[in-house]
Amino acid sequence: MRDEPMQDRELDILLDAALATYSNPEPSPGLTPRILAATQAVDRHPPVRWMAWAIPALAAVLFITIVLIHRPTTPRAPSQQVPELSASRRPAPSPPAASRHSVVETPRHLRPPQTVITRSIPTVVPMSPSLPRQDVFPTPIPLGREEQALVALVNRDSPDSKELAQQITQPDAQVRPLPIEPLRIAAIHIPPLNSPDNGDN
Amino acid sequence: MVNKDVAEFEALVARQSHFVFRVAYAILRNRHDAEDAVQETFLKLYRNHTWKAIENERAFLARTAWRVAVDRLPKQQPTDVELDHEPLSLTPSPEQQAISAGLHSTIHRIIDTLPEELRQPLVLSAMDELNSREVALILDLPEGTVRTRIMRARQMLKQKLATTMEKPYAR
Repeated sequence: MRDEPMQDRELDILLDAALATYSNPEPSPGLTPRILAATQAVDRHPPVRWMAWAIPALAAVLFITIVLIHRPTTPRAPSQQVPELSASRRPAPSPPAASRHSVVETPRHLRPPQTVITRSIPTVVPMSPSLPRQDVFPTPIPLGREEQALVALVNRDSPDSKELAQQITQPDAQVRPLPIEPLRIAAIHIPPLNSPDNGDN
Repeated sequence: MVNKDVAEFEALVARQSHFVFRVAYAILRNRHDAEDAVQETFLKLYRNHTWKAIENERAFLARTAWRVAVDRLPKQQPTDVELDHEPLSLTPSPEQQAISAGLHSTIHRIIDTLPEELRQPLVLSAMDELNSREVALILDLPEGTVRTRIMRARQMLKQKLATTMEKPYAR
Protein backbone atom coordinates (compact mmCIF):
# COMPACT_ATOMS: atom_id res chain seq x y z
CA MET A 1 0.00 0.00 0.00
CA ARG A 2 1.42 3.37 -1.05
CA ASP A 3 1.51 6.33 1.28
CA GLU A 4 -1.59 8.49 0.61
CA PRO A 5 0.05 11.98 0.79
CA MET A 6 2.96 10.73 -1.23
CA GLN A 7 0.71 9.46 -3.95
CA ASP A 8 -1.25 12.73 -3.93
CA ARG A 9 1.95 14.76 -4.32
CA GLU A 10 3.14 12.57 -7.17
CA LEU A 11 -0.22 12.88 -8.88
CA ASP A 12 0.06 16.67 -8.60
CA ILE A 13 3.46 16.60 -10.23
CA LEU A 14 2.22 14.32 -12.96
CA LEU A 15 -0.82 16.51 -13.50
CA ASP A 16 1.21 19.72 -13.69
CA ALA A 17 3.55 18.17 -16.21
CA ALA A 18 0.64 17.02 -18.33
CA LEU A 19 -1.12 20.38 -18.08
CA ALA A 20 2.03 22.17 -19.16
CA THR A 21 1.99 20.27 -22.40
CA TYR A 22 -1.79 20.36 -22.79
CA SER A 23 -1.94 23.46 -24.98
CA ASN A 24 1.57 24.01 -26.14
CA PRO A 25 1.57 22.69 -29.70
CA GLU A 26 3.05 25.06 -32.22
CA PRO A 27 0.75 26.47 -34.86
CA SER A 28 1.48 25.50 -38.39
CA PRO A 29 4.09 27.75 -39.99
CA GLY A 30 2.72 30.79 -41.76
CA LEU A 31 -0.14 31.52 -39.40
CA THR A 32 0.85 35.15 -38.92
CA PRO A 33 1.20 35.88 -42.66
CA ARG A 34 -2.18 34.22 -43.24
CA ILE A 35 -3.83 36.44 -40.63
CA LEU A 36 -2.28 39.54 -42.17
CA ALA A 37 -3.32 38.45 -45.65
CA ALA A 38 -6.87 38.02 -44.40
CA THR A 39 -6.91 41.50 -42.92
CA GLN A 40 -5.54 42.95 -46.17
CA ALA A 41 -8.32 41.14 -48.02
CA VAL A 42 -10.79 42.86 -45.74
CA ASP A 43 -9.25 46.18 -46.67
CA ARG A 44 -9.47 45.38 -50.38
CA HIS A 45 -13.06 44.15 -50.19
CA PRO A 46 -14.75 46.05 -47.39
CA PRO A 47 -18.06 44.63 -46.29
CA VAL A 48 -20.88 45.99 -48.38
CA ARG A 49 -23.06 47.64 -45.78
CA TRP A 50 -25.78 48.78 -48.18
CA MET A 51 -26.63 45.15 -48.88
CA ALA A 52 -28.02 44.88 -45.36
CA TRP A 53 -31.01 46.96 -46.36
CA ALA A 54 -30.91 46.65 -50.14
CA ILE A 55 -31.66 42.94 -50.20
CA PRO A 56 -34.81 43.14 -48.06
CA ALA A 57 -35.96 46.19 -50.03
CA LEU A 58 -35.47 44.35 -53.32
CA ALA A 59 -37.36 41.35 -51.97
CA ALA A 60 -40.24 43.59 -50.93
CA VAL A 61 -40.39 45.25 -54.36
CA LEU A 62 -40.39 41.84 -56.03
CA PHE A 63 -43.18 40.63 -53.77
CA ILE A 64 -45.35 43.67 -54.50
CA THR A 65 -44.71 43.30 -58.23
CA ILE A 66 -45.72 39.64 -58.18
CA VAL A 67 -48.86 40.45 -56.21
CA LEU A 68 -49.84 43.17 -58.66
CA ILE A 69 -49.19 40.94 -61.66
CA HIS A 70 -51.28 38.08 -60.32
CA ARG A 71 -54.11 40.34 -59.22
CA PRO A 72 -57.40 39.64 -61.12
CA THR A 73 -57.62 42.29 -63.85
CA THR A 74 -61.22 41.64 -65.14
CA PRO A 75 -63.47 44.15 -63.39
CA ARG A 76 -66.95 43.11 -62.40
CA ALA A 77 -69.73 44.47 -64.56
CA PRO A 78 -71.58 47.01 -62.44
CA SER A 79 -74.85 46.46 -64.36
CA GLN A 80 -75.00 42.92 -63.07
CA GLN A 81 -74.61 43.89 -59.46
CA VAL A 82 -76.72 47.01 -59.22
CA PRO A 83 -80.11 45.31 -59.82
CA GLU A 84 -79.33 42.80 -57.10
CA LEU A 85 -78.49 45.50 -54.65
CA SER A 86 -81.31 47.77 -55.71
CA ALA A 87 -83.84 44.99 -55.46
CA SER A 88 -82.79 44.28 -51.94
CA ARG A 89 -82.79 47.89 -50.81
CA ARG A 90 -85.76 49.42 -52.58
CA PRO A 91 -89.28 48.08 -52.09
CA ALA A 92 -90.19 47.30 -55.68
CA PRO A 93 -93.66 46.23 -56.75
CA SER A 94 -93.69 42.50 -57.10
CA PRO A 95 -95.83 41.25 -59.95
CA PRO A 96 -98.45 38.66 -59.04
CA ALA A 97 -98.24 35.15 -60.29
CA ALA A 98 -100.76 35.75 -63.05
CA SER A 99 -98.80 38.60 -64.50
CA ARG A 100 -95.65 36.53 -64.38
CA HIS A 101 -97.48 33.92 -66.32
CA SER A 102 -98.51 36.49 -68.86
CA VAL A 103 -94.93 37.66 -69.20
CA VAL A 104 -93.87 34.17 -70.05
CA GLU A 105 -96.57 33.86 -72.67
CA THR A 106 -95.64 37.10 -74.46
CA PRO A 107 -94.50 36.44 -78.00
CA ARG A 108 -90.83 36.29 -78.40
CA HIS A 109 -90.65 39.17 -80.85
CA LEU A 110 -92.36 41.44 -78.31
CA ARG A 111 -90.07 40.59 -75.48
CA PRO A 112 -87.29 42.97 -74.62
CA PRO A 113 -83.81 41.71 -75.08
CA GLN A 114 -83.03 39.43 -72.15
CA THR A 115 -79.89 39.62 -70.24
CA VAL A 116 -78.54 36.90 -68.07
CA ILE A 117 -78.46 37.99 -64.45
CA THR A 118 -75.76 36.28 -62.55
CA ARG A 119 -76.15 36.24 -58.81
CA SER A 120 -73.04 37.52 -57.23
CA ILE A 121 -72.06 37.87 -53.63
CA PRO A 122 -72.60 41.48 -52.68
CA THR A 123 -69.28 42.99 -51.89
CA VAL A 124 -68.84 45.76 -49.41
CA VAL A 125 -67.31 48.62 -51.29
CA PRO A 126 -65.59 51.01 -48.93
CA MET A 127 -66.94 54.47 -49.45
CA SER A 128 -64.50 57.15 -50.20
CA PRO A 129 -64.43 59.85 -47.56
CA SER A 130 -64.64 62.43 -50.33
CA LEU A 131 -68.20 61.39 -51.26
CA PRO A 132 -70.92 63.75 -49.96
CA ARG A 133 -73.18 62.61 -47.16
CA GLN A 134 -76.59 61.50 -48.44
CA ASP A 135 -79.89 62.55 -46.86
CA VAL A 136 -81.62 59.24 -47.47
CA PHE A 137 -80.12 55.98 -46.42
CA PRO A 138 -79.78 53.73 -48.23
CA THR A 139 -79.21 55.95 -51.20
CA PRO A 140 -81.89 55.40 -53.84
CA ILE A 141 -80.45 53.74 -56.84
CA PRO A 142 -81.94 54.40 -60.29
CA LEU A 143 -83.65 51.53 -62.02
CA GLY A 144 -81.41 49.15 -63.79
CA ARG A 145 -81.74 48.03 -67.35
CA GLU A 146 -83.71 44.92 -66.48
CA GLU A 147 -86.01 46.83 -64.17
CA GLN A 148 -86.67 49.46 -66.81
CA ALA A 149 -87.45 46.70 -69.30
CA LEU A 150 -89.86 45.13 -66.81
CA VAL A 151 -91.70 48.42 -66.28
CA ALA A 152 -91.93 48.95 -70.03
CA LEU A 153 -93.35 45.47 -70.42
CA VAL A 154 -95.96 46.05 -67.76
CA ASN A 155 -97.01 49.31 -69.40
CA ARG A 156 -97.72 47.65 -72.74
CA ASP A 157 -101.23 47.29 -74.05
CA SER A 158 -101.96 43.73 -73.10
CA PRO A 159 -105.00 43.42 -70.77
CA ASP A 160 -103.08 41.49 -68.18
CA SER A 161 -100.35 44.06 -68.05
CA LYS A 162 -102.90 46.89 -67.73
CA GLU A 163 -104.57 45.10 -64.89
CA LEU A 164 -101.19 44.56 -63.32
CA ALA A 165 -100.30 48.20 -63.77
CA GLN A 166 -103.56 49.23 -62.11
CA GLN A 167 -102.88 46.90 -59.25
CA ILE A 168 -99.48 48.43 -58.83
CA THR A 169 -100.39 52.08 -59.26
CA GLN A 170 -103.88 52.19 -57.62
CA PRO A 171 -104.88 50.86 -54.25
CA ASP A 172 -107.34 48.03 -54.26
CA ALA A 173 -110.82 49.52 -53.91
CA GLN A 174 -112.43 46.25 -52.89
CA VAL A 175 -110.35 45.97 -49.84
CA ARG A 176 -112.26 47.81 -47.13
CA PRO A 177 -111.60 47.86 -43.42
CA LEU A 178 -113.84 45.56 -41.41
CA PRO A 179 -116.20 47.21 -38.88
CA ILE A 180 -115.02 46.81 -35.36
CA GLU A 181 -117.76 46.16 -32.79
CA PRO A 182 -117.23 46.63 -29.07
CA LEU A 183 -116.70 43.45 -27.10
CA ARG A 184 -119.30 42.39 -24.58
CA ILE A 185 -118.20 40.25 -21.67
CA ALA A 186 -120.71 38.60 -19.31
CA ALA A 187 -120.46 39.42 -15.62
CA ILE A 188 -118.40 37.03 -13.58
CA HIS A 189 -119.89 35.90 -10.28
CA ILE A 190 -117.38 34.78 -7.67
CA PRO A 191 -118.85 33.12 -4.51
CA PRO A 192 -117.43 34.28 -1.15
CA LEU A 193 -114.78 32.09 0.50
CA ASN A 194 -116.48 31.82 3.93
CA SER A 195 -119.73 30.39 2.73
CA PRO A 196 -121.37 27.81 5.03
CA ASP A 197 -120.90 25.10 2.41
CA ASN A 198 -117.10 25.28 2.85
CA GLY A 199 -116.28 23.88 6.28
CA ASP A 200 -113.30 25.39 8.15
CA ASN A 201 -110.78 23.01 9.74
CA MET B 1 -6.69 52.14 -42.50
CA VAL B 2 -3.65 54.37 -42.01
CA ASN B 3 -0.25 52.83 -42.63
CA LYS B 4 0.74 53.46 -39.04
CA ASP B 5 -2.27 51.56 -37.78
CA VAL B 6 -1.56 48.72 -40.17
CA ALA B 7 1.98 48.49 -38.89
CA GLU B 8 0.78 48.47 -35.29
CA PHE B 9 -1.75 45.76 -36.04
CA GLU B 10 0.86 43.64 -37.80
CA ALA B 11 3.09 44.01 -34.78
CA LEU B 12 0.23 42.93 -32.52
CA VAL B 13 -0.41 39.84 -34.64
CA ALA B 14 3.25 38.93 -34.70
CA ARG B 15 3.50 39.45 -30.96
CA GLN B 16 0.40 37.61 -29.78
CA SER B 17 -0.69 35.15 -32.47
CA HIS B 18 1.07 32.26 -30.77
CA PHE B 19 -0.50 33.05 -27.42
CA VAL B 20 -3.95 33.41 -28.99
CA PHE B 21 -3.40 30.11 -30.73
CA ARG B 22 -2.63 28.40 -27.43
CA VAL B 23 -5.79 29.76 -25.84
CA ALA B 24 -7.87 28.61 -28.79
CA TYR B 25 -6.17 25.23 -28.86
CA ALA B 26 -6.74 24.73 -25.13
CA ILE B 27 -10.46 25.07 -25.78
CA LEU B 28 -10.82 23.39 -29.16
CA ARG B 29 -8.10 20.70 -28.95
CA ASN B 30 -7.71 20.75 -32.72
CA ARG B 31 -4.93 22.53 -34.56
CA HIS B 32 -6.90 23.55 -37.64
CA ASP B 33 -9.90 24.70 -35.66
CA ALA B 34 -7.63 26.67 -33.37
CA GLU B 35 -5.90 28.37 -36.30
CA ASP B 36 -9.27 29.30 -37.77
CA ALA B 37 -10.28 30.70 -34.40
CA VAL B 38 -7.07 32.75 -34.23
CA GLN B 39 -7.73 34.18 -37.67
CA GLU B 40 -11.31 35.01 -36.78
CA THR B 41 -10.18 36.62 -33.54
CA PHE B 42 -7.78 38.99 -35.23
CA LEU B 43 -10.23 39.74 -38.03
CA LYS B 44 -12.83 40.75 -35.45
CA LEU B 45 -10.37 43.06 -33.77
CA TYR B 46 -9.31 44.51 -37.11
CA ARG B 47 -12.88 45.21 -38.26
CA ASN B 48 -14.05 46.68 -34.97
CA HIS B 49 -10.87 48.70 -34.41
CA THR B 50 -11.07 47.60 -30.79
CA TRP B 51 -7.44 46.61 -30.64
CA LYS B 52 -6.32 50.26 -30.51
CA ALA B 53 -7.50 50.86 -26.95
CA ILE B 54 -6.56 47.74 -25.07
CA GLU B 55 -5.40 48.02 -21.49
CA ASN B 56 -4.50 44.41 -20.73
CA GLU B 57 -3.47 43.12 -24.12
CA ARG B 58 -3.14 39.45 -23.22
CA ALA B 59 -6.32 39.26 -21.21
CA PHE B 60 -8.28 41.07 -23.89
CA LEU B 61 -6.95 38.86 -26.67
CA ALA B 62 -7.44 35.73 -24.59
CA ARG B 63 -11.02 36.67 -23.82
CA THR B 64 -11.81 37.37 -27.48
CA ALA B 65 -10.15 34.14 -28.56
CA TRP B 66 -11.94 32.21 -25.83
CA ARG B 67 -15.31 33.53 -27.01
CA VAL B 68 -14.56 32.63 -30.61
CA ALA B 69 -13.33 29.19 -29.63
CA VAL B 70 -16.29 28.46 -27.38
CA ASP B 71 -18.62 29.38 -30.23
CA ARG B 72 -16.84 26.83 -32.38
CA LEU B 73 -16.85 24.19 -29.69
CA PRO B 74 -18.98 21.16 -30.54
CA LYS B 75 -22.04 20.87 -28.34
CA GLN B 76 -21.53 17.19 -27.60
CA GLN B 77 -19.21 16.62 -24.71
CA PRO B 78 -16.67 13.81 -24.90
CA THR B 79 -17.51 10.80 -22.83
CA ASP B 80 -15.13 8.88 -20.63
CA VAL B 81 -12.02 7.86 -22.45
CA GLU B 82 -11.13 4.26 -22.99
CA LEU B 83 -7.51 4.20 -21.99
CA ASP B 84 -5.43 2.28 -24.46
CA HIS B 85 -2.39 2.25 -22.21
CA GLU B 86 -1.40 -0.31 -19.68
CA PRO B 87 -2.33 0.50 -16.08
CA LEU B 88 0.27 2.92 -14.82
CA SER B 89 2.33 2.95 -11.70
CA LEU B 90 4.10 5.99 -10.35
CA THR B 91 7.20 3.97 -9.63
CA PRO B 92 9.56 4.65 -12.48
CA SER B 93 10.58 1.54 -14.23
CA PRO B 94 12.16 0.97 -17.60
CA GLU B 95 8.91 -0.36 -18.92
CA GLN B 96 6.94 2.68 -17.73
CA GLN B 97 9.65 5.03 -18.93
CA ALA B 98 9.16 3.50 -22.31
CA ILE B 99 5.51 4.41 -22.28
CA SER B 100 5.96 7.79 -20.55
CA ALA B 101 5.75 9.51 -23.90
CA GLY B 102 2.14 8.45 -24.10
CA LEU B 103 1.40 9.23 -20.48
CA HIS B 104 0.78 12.91 -21.02
CA SER B 105 -1.47 12.30 -23.96
CA THR B 106 -3.46 9.88 -21.81
CA ILE B 107 -3.86 12.50 -19.12
CA HIS B 108 -4.82 15.00 -21.80
CA ARG B 109 -7.60 12.70 -22.86
CA ILE B 110 -8.77 12.44 -19.28
CA ILE B 111 -8.71 16.24 -19.05
CA ASP B 112 -10.83 16.37 -22.19
CA THR B 113 -13.55 14.42 -20.40
CA LEU B 114 -13.92 17.06 -17.71
CA PRO B 115 -16.99 19.28 -17.81
CA GLU B 116 -16.25 22.48 -19.72
CA GLU B 117 -16.95 24.62 -16.65
CA LEU B 118 -14.06 22.87 -14.93
CA ARG B 119 -11.80 22.16 -17.89
CA GLN B 120 -11.58 25.73 -19.20
CA PRO B 121 -10.42 27.37 -15.95
CA LEU B 122 -7.97 24.53 -15.43
CA VAL B 123 -6.30 24.69 -18.83
CA LEU B 124 -6.25 28.47 -18.94
CA SER B 125 -4.67 28.65 -15.52
CA ALA B 126 -2.05 26.14 -16.65
CA MET B 127 -0.80 28.66 -19.19
CA ASP B 128 2.16 30.54 -17.79
CA GLU B 129 1.03 33.81 -19.26
CA LEU B 130 -2.26 33.91 -17.35
CA ASN B 131 -2.77 34.24 -13.63
CA SER B 132 -6.03 33.41 -11.87
CA ARG B 133 -7.20 37.02 -11.98
CA GLU B 134 -6.78 37.14 -15.74
CA VAL B 135 -8.49 33.76 -16.10
CA ALA B 136 -11.39 35.15 -14.10
CA LEU B 137 -11.44 38.16 -16.42
CA ILE B 138 -11.47 35.93 -19.50
CA LEU B 139 -14.22 33.68 -18.22
CA ASP B 140 -16.16 36.57 -16.73
CA LEU B 141 -16.28 34.84 -13.37
CA PRO B 142 -15.26 35.88 -9.86
CA GLU B 143 -11.71 34.96 -9.06
CA GLY B 144 -12.84 32.83 -6.13
CA THR B 145 -15.12 30.83 -8.40
CA VAL B 146 -12.23 30.23 -10.76
CA ARG B 147 -10.02 29.00 -7.93
CA THR B 148 -12.77 26.68 -6.68
CA ARG B 149 -13.34 25.23 -10.11
CA ILE B 150 -9.64 24.68 -10.67
CA MET B 151 -9.41 22.85 -7.35
CA ARG B 152 -12.43 20.67 -8.17
CA ALA B 153 -11.03 19.90 -11.60
CA ARG B 154 -7.71 18.81 -10.14
CA GLN B 155 -9.43 16.62 -7.57
CA MET B 156 -11.49 14.92 -10.24
CA LEU B 157 -8.42 14.37 -12.40
CA LYS B 158 -6.43 12.91 -9.54
CA GLN B 159 -9.26 10.55 -8.63
CA LYS B 160 -9.46 9.32 -12.21
CA LEU B 161 -5.71 8.96 -12.45
CA ALA B 162 -5.48 7.11 -9.13
CA THR B 163 -8.25 4.75 -10.17
CA THR B 164 -6.51 4.09 -13.44
CA MET B 165 -3.14 3.48 -11.84
CA GLU B 166 -4.32 1.38 -8.91
CA LYS B 167 -6.27 -1.09 -11.03
CA PRO B 168 -3.53 -3.72 -11.15
CA TYR B 169 -3.17 -3.66 -7.37
CA ALA B 170 -6.89 -4.08 -6.86
CA ARG B 171 -6.83 -7.51 -8.46
